[in-house]
Amino acid sequence: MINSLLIFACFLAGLMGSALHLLPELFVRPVFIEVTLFVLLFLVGVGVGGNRHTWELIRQITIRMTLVPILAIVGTLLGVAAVSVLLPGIRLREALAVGSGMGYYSLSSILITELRGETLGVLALLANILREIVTLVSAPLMGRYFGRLGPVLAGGATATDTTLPIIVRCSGPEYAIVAVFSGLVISILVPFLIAALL
Amino acid sequence: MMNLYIVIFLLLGIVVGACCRRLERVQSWAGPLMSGTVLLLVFSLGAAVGANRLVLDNLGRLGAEAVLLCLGGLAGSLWLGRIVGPRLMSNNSRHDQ
Repeated sequence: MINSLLIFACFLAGLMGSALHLLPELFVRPVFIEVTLFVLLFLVGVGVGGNRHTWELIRQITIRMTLVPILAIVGTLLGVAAVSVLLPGIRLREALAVGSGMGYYSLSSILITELRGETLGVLALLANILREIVTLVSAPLMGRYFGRLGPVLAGGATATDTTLPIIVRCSGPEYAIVAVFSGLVISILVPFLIAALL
Repeated sequence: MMNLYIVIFLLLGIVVGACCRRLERVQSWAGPLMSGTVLLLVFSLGAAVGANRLVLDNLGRLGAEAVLLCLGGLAGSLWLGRIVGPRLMSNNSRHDQ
């Protein structure tokens, strides 16, 4: 929660600084943003590839577990596609790309901004931050009405870190490995999904 | 072309990360550096939005659309989980009974 607030505060600081003409032009220069983005993608990869936990987790995977992230992604995309009918200003592919953020708001909003511009990028930032917050706040209700897998699926990419504690509390400790695995797989897939959709 | 670069840099990072798995120094640098670049990029996203009148004027509408997309995605995954979940996690769900 603190992390999402920090990200949002950073976004607001940039917005205010720019709106009040207090920032040097460097921050919005495409070359600067592209180079920083490539550094970020590289570091995300290093984090995933270098995490010993990732490789230990692979040994504990069952076939059923591999279906959990697929279920989360397919369900999200179906839901987003249904809702996009109500949003005539947004194309289906764009709505699906926002949904593919799966709660990974930092990377998804930056990637989408780079591929489709600020409007869709801001939408991705807001929609995915909200996903994390709604999951954190309503995980107990999700567990009660949608089964113990509910909070894991709702958490999306965040199930591996920020929403993991609440998932374990609501779904039980036996869901911890499933949640970490699902969140990790989704986190890896988010950039690929967005790149494929836009 | 940008999409291709995204995939290439990510895969490159995964390979380098896997090769440097035992180098604790690389791992201890990667995390904070990643958080720093994320904050920098989100800040520059804010700066780009602040300079874009069209987005600024439509922030309210964007917020409403974000709520809809978020709830749609959540509802879709929860609904699918409710249908498929019990069968999928039958070995794992003694608590459900």
